[in-house]
Amino acid sequence: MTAAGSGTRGRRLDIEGLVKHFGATPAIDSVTLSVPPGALVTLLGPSGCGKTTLMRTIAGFVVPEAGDVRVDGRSIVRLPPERRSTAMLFQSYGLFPHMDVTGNVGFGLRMRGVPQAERERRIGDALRMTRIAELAARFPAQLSGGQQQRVALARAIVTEPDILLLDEPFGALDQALREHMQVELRKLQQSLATTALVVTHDQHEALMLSDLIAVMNAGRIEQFGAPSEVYDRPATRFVAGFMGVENLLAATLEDGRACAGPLIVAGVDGAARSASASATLAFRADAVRIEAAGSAGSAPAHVVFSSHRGSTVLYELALADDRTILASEPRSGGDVRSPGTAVGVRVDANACTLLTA
Amino acid sequence: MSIRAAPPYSAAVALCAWLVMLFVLLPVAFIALYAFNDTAYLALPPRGLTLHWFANFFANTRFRDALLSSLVIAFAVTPAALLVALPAAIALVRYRFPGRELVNVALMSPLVVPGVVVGISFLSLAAALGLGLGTSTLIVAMTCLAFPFALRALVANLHGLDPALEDAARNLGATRLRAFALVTLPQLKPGVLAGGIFVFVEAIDNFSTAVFLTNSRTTTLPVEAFSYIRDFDDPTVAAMAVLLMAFSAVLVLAIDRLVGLDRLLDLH
Amino acid sequence: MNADERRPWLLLLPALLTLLVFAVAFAMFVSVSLRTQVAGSAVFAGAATFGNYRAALASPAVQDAAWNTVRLAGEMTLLTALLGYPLAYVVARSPSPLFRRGVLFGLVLTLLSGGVTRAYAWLVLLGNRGLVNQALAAIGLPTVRLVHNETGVVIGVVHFLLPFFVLTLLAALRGIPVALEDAARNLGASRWRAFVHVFLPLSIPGLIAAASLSFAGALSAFLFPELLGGGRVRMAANLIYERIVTDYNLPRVAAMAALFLVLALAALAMLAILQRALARRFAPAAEAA
Repeated sequence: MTAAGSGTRGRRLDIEGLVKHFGATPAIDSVTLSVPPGALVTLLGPSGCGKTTLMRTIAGFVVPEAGDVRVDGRSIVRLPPERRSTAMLFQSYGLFPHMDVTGNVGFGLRMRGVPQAERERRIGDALRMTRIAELAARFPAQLSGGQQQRVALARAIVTEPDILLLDEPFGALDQALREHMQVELRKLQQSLATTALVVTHDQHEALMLSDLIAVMNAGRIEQFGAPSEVYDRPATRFVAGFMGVENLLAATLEDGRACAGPLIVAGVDGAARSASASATLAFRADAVRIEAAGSAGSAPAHVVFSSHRGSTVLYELALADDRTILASEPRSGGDVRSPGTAVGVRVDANACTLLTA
Repeated sequence: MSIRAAPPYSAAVALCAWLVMLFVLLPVAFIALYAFNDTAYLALPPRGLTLHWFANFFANTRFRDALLSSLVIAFAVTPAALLVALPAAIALVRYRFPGRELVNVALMSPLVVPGVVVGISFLSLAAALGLGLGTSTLIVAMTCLAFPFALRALVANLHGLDPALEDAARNLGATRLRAFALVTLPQLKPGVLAGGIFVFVEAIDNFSTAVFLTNSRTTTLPVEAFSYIRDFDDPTVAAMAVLLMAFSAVLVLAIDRLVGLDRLLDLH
Repeated sequence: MNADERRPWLLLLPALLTLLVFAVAFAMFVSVSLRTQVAGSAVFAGAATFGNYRAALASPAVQDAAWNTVRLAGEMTLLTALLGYPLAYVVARSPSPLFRRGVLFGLVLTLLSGGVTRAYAWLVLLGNRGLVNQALAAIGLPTVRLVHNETGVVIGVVHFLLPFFVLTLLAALRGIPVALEDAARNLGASRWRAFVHVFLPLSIPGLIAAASLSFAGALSAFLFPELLGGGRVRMAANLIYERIVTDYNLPRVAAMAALFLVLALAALAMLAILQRALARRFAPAAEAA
């Protein structure tokens, strides 16, 4: 098993214009994507958005109607699954119940005709890397969920694949184990410098693991960028909503100011040069400043509902035109504002994004 | 969900499967053709079509009596087997009691005993009790022989049902019996249908047991057909076969409409 | 026992009574086998004896029939498995729901059309002037003796057993997750190797279960050898029937039948043990068939 710097160079993955229909609906609607060598890219989106279909196309289980898949410039789209060097960790792990851990992990090496001695060495390395060396003789039925996942991971990396594909790898694990495994996976992937693609519907997971995130919806990629970019500057309504942006208000643009009814935010990036007169103003709950009613520059509102969120309090506030927004602030020593309390709200321009889509 | 580029088997394997299926369906198709054939021996292509053999079948008094007997037996055995199997299935699936495994095996045991042994057993019983052979003996023997079919189908069906639903019904005021009748029983349609049909077919079609329990006065359709085949060489039995097959086709279509073949066969 | 404990037994009562009738009939049969029949009458006399069993075991006809039964049942089961496995596999992995439904429909229809129908169909199909020979004659090939011999019986019984076999096996094959074959291919196995290394081993418990059912059916074969064997094929059931009809020495015949039952149960027990052992090896794959 080689670590970074001693031979496993990350491969570049290029997907170009992939199209795949199931019946009349497009599951993949002309997707183009480039994964830099050694990077971990997450395909993030709700169920049915096409992310798993896209991954299965890269693995070779789905043949696209149009488009290309290239590894380091070499097209692999015509190759059957067994001739591609894309190791996949299935959502259900796909461990062979009739083989023990060693048998499972060594399967890919057997298929490639690796001689026994070298096989044993590489299996040993992979088991050590995934911290399950002591489970070598056990059968999958005797392992816990977390252990099974490590076996599936070891099985995938032992073949030194060009691309590592992980389909909702942490879905079956409970919360504490999930976070632990996410860190471990990331460290492992970085040390191997293997290019990896992860499918998930969990935005926190995506933010945590990725070098780059591709947010997908209805077969198309709506945004592709670094986690901070996707988080701070969502490109579309869908991405904003999916990334947990709580407030998406229809607004009109005049003189470089965004006016969402009584709430006016000046100086939002892009307001001045926007071609159209209307847009969606997007901002998170924690970007809302709750001040005393009537304070200068704030829009009048009153409290509708409040709930404790541990270290923060979440308020539902109604503006003068009866639209509601969500605001969260850290819990100070003072009392939680009760429903009906009049307040003033202000939103920082830097925390807002204007969306046209 | 696995929409794939191609199925995991090659075209050669697919061809094998098709050929086997052809082999399965060949006699069925052929017998239909033979029954309408103009001549007593098979000529292909058929020179003419006729319903003569069907008329022959119904004109034959022995066949008519046998048909009547078989139907009487089947229509008696099927509800009997279901009535016996249903409470037993409930006991086996919904209750825990010592000896449950043993009882399960015991109740399924008639399936394992060769038909001739069952035939001789009941022959011995009838002889020992001084009872003559007749429709009643056949009905009793068939019920004993066939009720495991019904039991197996009902057990499989019950396994898939949520017992909490009956509890919910009782919580809402239904007695145990009403809860069963209104909640569980309607969901047992597949099991009752599957079990009922297999019992019915076994009762009509059984040969190896029936042949020991028939005599000149009482006979069943298969036994009668067997002796006719021995003596005559014409398609009358083919006509009978076509009638039986048409009947089963109707049954299969009805099951599919009511319950769906797929679901039914999960119970097989 | 309180009311709750009594209830399952009350529910089981009808079934247990039915079983009791069966058991009594069976007990009668065993007791008859231990008696001696007075020659020329229908009366049993004398004390209980194993004489009938001794005579049966010593009889060459019985020994032949026993050997033929096991041999032929084995052949039939093997052929059924060879034909039925590919069909079940294709149906289990077919991407076309229409094909699946069509096959299921055809199998169930064949099942429901009964034994006599099918035996008769083969009799005519395989006869000297049957479809097969007519086709051969049309091409100019000599006719083949396909019926009134073991060949015809084997064909008939295999055809009879196939639907049960395929349906039972299919239920088990559906429990093997597709993801496992995908995983194997992802790791470099071709379609064939994925089948050999992953699917086939996991299908073995289901295969044994289906084969056991078929073997039980083949052992008990009666109608098909009777109709298609032309008197030349004597399996256990045929011998028993023949003796009853010609001899009517019920005790003798009952002894033969009892031995036959022991043979059948022993074979099934062995298969059940085999299946249990294999299921333990591949335990988590699927629920026991």
